[in-house]
Amino acid sequence: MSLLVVITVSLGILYGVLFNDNPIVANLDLLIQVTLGFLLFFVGLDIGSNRSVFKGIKDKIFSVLLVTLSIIIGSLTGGLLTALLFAMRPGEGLAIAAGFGWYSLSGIILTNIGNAELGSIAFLSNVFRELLTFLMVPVIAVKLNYLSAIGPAGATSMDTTLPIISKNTDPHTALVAFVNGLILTAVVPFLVPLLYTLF
Amino acid sequence: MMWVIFVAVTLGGVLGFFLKWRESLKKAVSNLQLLGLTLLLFFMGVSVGSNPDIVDNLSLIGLKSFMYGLLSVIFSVLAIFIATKIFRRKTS
Repeated sequence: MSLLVVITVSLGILYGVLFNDNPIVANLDLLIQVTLGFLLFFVGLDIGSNRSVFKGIKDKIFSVLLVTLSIIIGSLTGGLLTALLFAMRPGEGLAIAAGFGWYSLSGIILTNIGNAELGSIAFLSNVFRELLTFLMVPVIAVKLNYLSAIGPAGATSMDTTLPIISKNTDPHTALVAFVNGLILTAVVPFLVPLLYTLF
Repeated sequence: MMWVIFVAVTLGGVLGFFLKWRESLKKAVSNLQLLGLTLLLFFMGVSVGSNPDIVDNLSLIGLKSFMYGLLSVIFSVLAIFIATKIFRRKTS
């Protein structure tokens, strides 16, 4: 999956560099818009289809809320500080951080409503976030505690990084991680554009 | 064009909640997601590649991106760790 992402983006970049003057480049905004709507509809379907999970989560709801809210507050703090560091607009930093590791979507949304440079930063920073997750989860699970090990993963804790969390913690933490990822995934499409526009 | 994003996710979410999920439907949705994602990532690449400002500044963009990733991760972990210490009894 990650390999497919790298290859597809690279091919796109190569295409953009080599063929600067053609119908795809000229209509890029419209193309992204239409495909984005198409993709998000199916992402929504996927989120909605997970209703059975919510039944087993009742007694873990406090842990889930604590983890999810902490990740939102922590990520946005990191985004705001980085924006200050590079003299960017606060809304840009917050929106980038609100991808919570979901690189494909946050990058595309910010390319769409912001600009290509912002989209690239959102994309790359969330790729880095996922890579850091693979490195840090085993260490954090041992040195801090299990719930903290969900922190680096953000929205990816329901799919790509769930296996590494589950391997290094326990079933309780894995379930919290999954639902955390589900909530953050549902929040990203709303939070990224809102933060970008509001601040 | 934010409304496209909101409408598409909400519509899908509501529909997904009430649909009968057979294995074949799950597979179809997952394949369509993959198709949409692949197309979008390609277009995103094109928008980067056709923009000389980005191609010429790739190392600075890389540095910014790394800092965003790193600081988001550090503060997320810190926030959870502090919260679990405060609410120790409720999360154990």
